[in-house]
Parts: sequence; C-alpha cells; structure tokens
Amino acid sequence: MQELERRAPEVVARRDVDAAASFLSDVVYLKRPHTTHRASVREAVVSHPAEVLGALDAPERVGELGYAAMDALAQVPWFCA
Amino acid sequence: MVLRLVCPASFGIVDWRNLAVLCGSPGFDGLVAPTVSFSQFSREEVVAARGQLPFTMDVYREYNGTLRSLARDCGVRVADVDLVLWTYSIDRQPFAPFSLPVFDSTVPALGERERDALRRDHQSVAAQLVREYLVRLGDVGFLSKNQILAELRSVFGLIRDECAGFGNHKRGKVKDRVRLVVAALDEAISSESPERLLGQWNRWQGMVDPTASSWIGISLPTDMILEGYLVLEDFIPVKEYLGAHYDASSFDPRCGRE
Repeated sequence: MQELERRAPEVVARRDVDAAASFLSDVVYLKRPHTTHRASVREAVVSHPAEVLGALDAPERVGELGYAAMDALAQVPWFCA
Repeated sequence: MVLRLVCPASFGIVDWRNLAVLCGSPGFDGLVAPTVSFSQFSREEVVAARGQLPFTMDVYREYNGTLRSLARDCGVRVADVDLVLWTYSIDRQPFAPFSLPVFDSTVPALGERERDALRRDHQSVAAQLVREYLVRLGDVGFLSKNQILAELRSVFGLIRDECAGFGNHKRGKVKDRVRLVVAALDEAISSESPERLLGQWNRWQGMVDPTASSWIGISLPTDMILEGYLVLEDFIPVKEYLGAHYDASSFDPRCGRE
C-alpha cells in the first residue's frame, strides 16, 4: 500500500498509459490478491487508453470535481462503481 | 481505492469491515463512539451482507464524509482513519482461512445430522447453506474463468455424490435412471469451460423436470428432497449470481470492483 501511495503521484504526473495500466493492475491485485490475475487486468486496462487518460486527469481536478472524480475512474475496466 | 492512493488526505477505501466498525455492528463495536448510522442499511445488515453490501456513490459519499469528520477531529489524514478502522476490524474478526474453490471450504460434508435437518426443513436448510456460500464467494471478489469453472465443478461434484448416495439404496428402474443422471453430471464435471457446464446444467434440469421435453421419466429431485439430499435446484442462486456478476460468454466481470 505504501509503495502504491508513493507511485501514485508519479503515475498521475507522467500520463503514460502503460505505466498507469501497471499501476492500476497492481491496485486491483492489492485489493484481491487471491483472485486477481494481474496480467489480464493490465491487458484490459491498456486496451482502453482514452478512459485511462481521462482517469489520470481526474485526480488533478479533484478539488473542482469532488466525488465526481470517481466517475472518470469508473470508465476504466475493473474500476467501475 | 485510486483516489485514496492519490489523495490520501481526503479519500478512504470503502469496505464492509470499516462500515461495521463505524456502525458498531455485532462483533465490531467498541472503537467508535457514538456509532454512526447509515440510511442505506442497519448495523446488522452490514455484517450479514459483508462483501455483497452494495457500495453506491451515496454510500461512499456518506462513509467518506464520516471519515473526513473523524480525520479533522483527530488531526490525521482520511487514509489513516481508514487504516485504523480496518486494522481494528481484523483484530476483532480475523480473515477466515482462504482456499479455492470457495465451495469446498464453505459447504460442509453432509452427515446424518445435516440430512436430518434437510428432511425436516429442506428449503430453509438448503437456502442457508447456499446463502453462506454466496457470501463467501462475494468476499473473495471476482474470479477468473478457470476459477469459476472450478467452483461449478465443485457444485456439480456435490450433487453427483448426492445422486449417487441416493441411488445406492434403490433398485431396478430407479437405480438405472439415477445412474443415467450421475453419468450426465460426470460428463458436465469434465467440461473444459464454464459456459459448457452451465449449458449442461440446463440440460440436466430438463432431464429431471416432468414439464420439459427432455424429461427422462423420473421425479428425482422430489424423491431426493424427501430423503434429505441436496439437489441441483437448490443451487440455482449460484447460477443467478454468476449471471449477475459475469458476462455470459467471456466470463469477464460485468463490472470490476476495486
């Protein structure tokens, strides 16, 4: 969790879909380690680049969007509400 | 969870365990005073539903608002409050040992006492057993296609054993027909994909349903129920659960939860 917290601002700042997909698949894995196949999650995430980029914009606008920032994240496979 | 990682000062992770501690649910009380009430469910419902509690945006908003208020009072980050709640919940009720298939560790081997209970009140006893299984299934989160296949094989394996056990005490035509059903179940268990197995489930149901054209002339489920055996019909909620949570052809989660 600490490692992911450390990586999070860097991933948001880089706006790189591959790096974000790795980060997001690690997040899903952390939540469900016994049942998550990290490579499959990563593959699903990376195949939706526009949604990933939208999700990367959301945290920077969280002050303006508030909880609506979650709507952008919810467009990414494995992260819908 | 992503917002919790990016903005730990303002966001926490919603989890039934944290809600249980905030509400003071049975087994999770003692940390937060006064306890918090949520409009969407009671403190008892939180621990009954556990991993299947519906986390709508309204629930999250209310939950995270509570966390923000506690964080302000304590001079810490929302993520720290989240961690304290979660750690307390684990301390009060550690995780159950985890193994896959979930079915094998949840549904007990049926002894004479369970048979007796099933004979007396089949519907309630079977429904409770299936409910507990689905709660555990919800707890472990989404499964891969192969893990779903393993769960379905376990369900079919149990019913196969139930049929075989029932047939052991029978003679003549009934025994022959039970053998037919056991063979159909064995064939289903050897399926290589969950969709094939679910297809077999529908076929099998037809074989024992007197209203279906594929009926093989035996009211097997009724006789089995009367003698205290579980039948595949008891596990229809499992089929419904899979239909609700997974795509029917790819078996990808219909909606990935964080």
